[in-house]
Amino acid sequence: MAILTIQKATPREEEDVEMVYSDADSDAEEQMVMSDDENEDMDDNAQAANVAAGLVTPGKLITEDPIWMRGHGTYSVGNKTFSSTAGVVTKTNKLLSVVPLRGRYQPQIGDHVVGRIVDVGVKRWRVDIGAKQLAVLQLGSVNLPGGILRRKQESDELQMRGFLKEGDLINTEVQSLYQDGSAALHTRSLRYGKLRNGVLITVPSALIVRAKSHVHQLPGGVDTVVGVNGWIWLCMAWANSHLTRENTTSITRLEEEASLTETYSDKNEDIPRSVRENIARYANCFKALAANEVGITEDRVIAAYEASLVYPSAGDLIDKEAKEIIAAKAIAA
Amino acid sequence: MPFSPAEIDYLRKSLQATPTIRPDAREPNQFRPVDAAQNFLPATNGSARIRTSDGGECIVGVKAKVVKNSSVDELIAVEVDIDDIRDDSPLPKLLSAVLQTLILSSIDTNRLRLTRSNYAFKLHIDALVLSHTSFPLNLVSLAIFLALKCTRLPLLVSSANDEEHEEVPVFSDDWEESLALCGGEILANNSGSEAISWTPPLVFSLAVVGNNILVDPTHEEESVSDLGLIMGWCNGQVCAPLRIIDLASAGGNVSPEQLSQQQSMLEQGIDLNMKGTSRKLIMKAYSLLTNTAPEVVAALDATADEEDGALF
Repeated sequence: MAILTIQKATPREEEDVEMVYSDADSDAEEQMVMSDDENEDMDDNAQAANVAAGLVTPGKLITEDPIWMRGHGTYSVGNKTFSSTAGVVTKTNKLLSVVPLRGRYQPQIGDHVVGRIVDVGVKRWRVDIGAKQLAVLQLGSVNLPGGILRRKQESDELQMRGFLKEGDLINTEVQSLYQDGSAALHTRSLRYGKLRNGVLITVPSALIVRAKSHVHQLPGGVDTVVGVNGWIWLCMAWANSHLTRENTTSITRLEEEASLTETYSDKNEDIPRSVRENIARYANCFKALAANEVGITEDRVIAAYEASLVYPSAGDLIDKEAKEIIAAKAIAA
Repeated sequence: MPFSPAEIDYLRKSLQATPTIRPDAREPNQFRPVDAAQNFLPATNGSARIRTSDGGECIVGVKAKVVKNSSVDELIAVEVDIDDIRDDSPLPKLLSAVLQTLILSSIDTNRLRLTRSNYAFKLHIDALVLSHTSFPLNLVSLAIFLALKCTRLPLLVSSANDEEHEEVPVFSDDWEESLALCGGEILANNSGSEAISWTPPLVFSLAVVGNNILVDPTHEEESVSDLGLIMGWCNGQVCAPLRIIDLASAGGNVSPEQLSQQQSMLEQGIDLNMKGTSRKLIMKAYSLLTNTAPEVVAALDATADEEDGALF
């Protein structure tokens, strides 16, 4: 094991690649000029050629055709539409927008996210989910001890900090979006609630592939909640956990209440050493995938974990080469 | 951003375990990989940039200036500037002071002397921390090491003997003839001192959690640490400064009053959090550093040697 590895900064390659892009640019412009002449009875496919495709950089001309509506990530001068971000051009009917490659998480309704309480306010919590604005969790959108459908009372308002306080991590879902793009969250399911028994790691939200379920039971006694916002919670798997209970239907009221007190607990259970080591290994696997810009899915994470077992010490996974090997194996899987 | 009680409990219990389980599974004496570049600032005598995997970045420039009649203590000036933090706040001042004392105590100032009585080079070592999440001392120290390693001073062509009559230093125009600061040759080889190369000093910040001592702590590890140790390493041995700091709050932007209060609290008694085990702990840190630092120096030397000769 090397105590300190130093990577030499290599100067950025500049020559050939640049040339290819400029050629592509001029081609695209020629096409545009050509199609401008005969734009009377074009169908949608022909119009698509009228628009710069694929990756665009800020300030790049997307189209000169005024027929397109301009969406997010674009700006216009006269009839021309330019890109305002680096990203991929997407077309929805007549709406042109550029989806940024990087950037903050943009909440969408139904996203399963992990967030951190920032502020306890009147009848609501403010939650950091890594988006542009803080999200809001209304007191009415959480399950409280003593029955799911209980009315929220004044006493509940007074002890809001007893349920969730600043710094607490929660597992939640985006319920709706406000006009300004900020999210309203809810935890009205037994799957959601306060997180414990583990650690949080963050990766760029663009790398999270949306899936049917974002809660995975991984080999090695580890559960993970892969928030769509790129916040990933790794914790000890526990029998009949509220994270993984989604399919059990026969919960009695007593069990419900027990699970709800568990939901707001700050106390960790006894976590065996092997699980802690596996959690650290999984954390390194996630970071290896993120460092190599590999989209994160359950299969890839498991493949990365299995590939990582070649290294007896998970500490070796922080090396750049090791990360590349792991990521390559994960993609191949 | 505060952590949740459950996270803090998990981190502390993991780090306290024997052997320790760090969140990224590193060994207690394992550093995070860094990116390094040297000699990238053309207007300096030596420069270096270090980037860590958590996004910390530090650039260092070393400038030499000819000074007349200055005391030995003034020949090294270290200035650490941290983005987003005021120059006169405790953190940059602490770093500047620690590094300045350490470098002064480690360097043989004959290396900087130009003439026997009057002229000498003064080294201005300016470090700029562009971003950091954890306590930036390790980062700055590594960058300064690399910058000093690649620092070159122009060759003196005039006489070094000015005891009888005034002699103004004149330098060779040819940069090819410049001498490495850390190399064997000493500018004014007047005192008959042996030509030995100099290894710049390093300073490490270590986090103490329970009975475990961790090198290169991350922000999370610092947040749950009992305290932090600053230990120097020069000329092959552990050396001053040996200081105890509160890493749990020093890494963030703590208000000056808070930090100075903690400083004084910590200086009052090493036993503050340690419940009488401080001596054993210092011994443990000492032996950890004795094993780890040579490898760190070797890794940095290897990087510096690769770069050697690739000037501008």
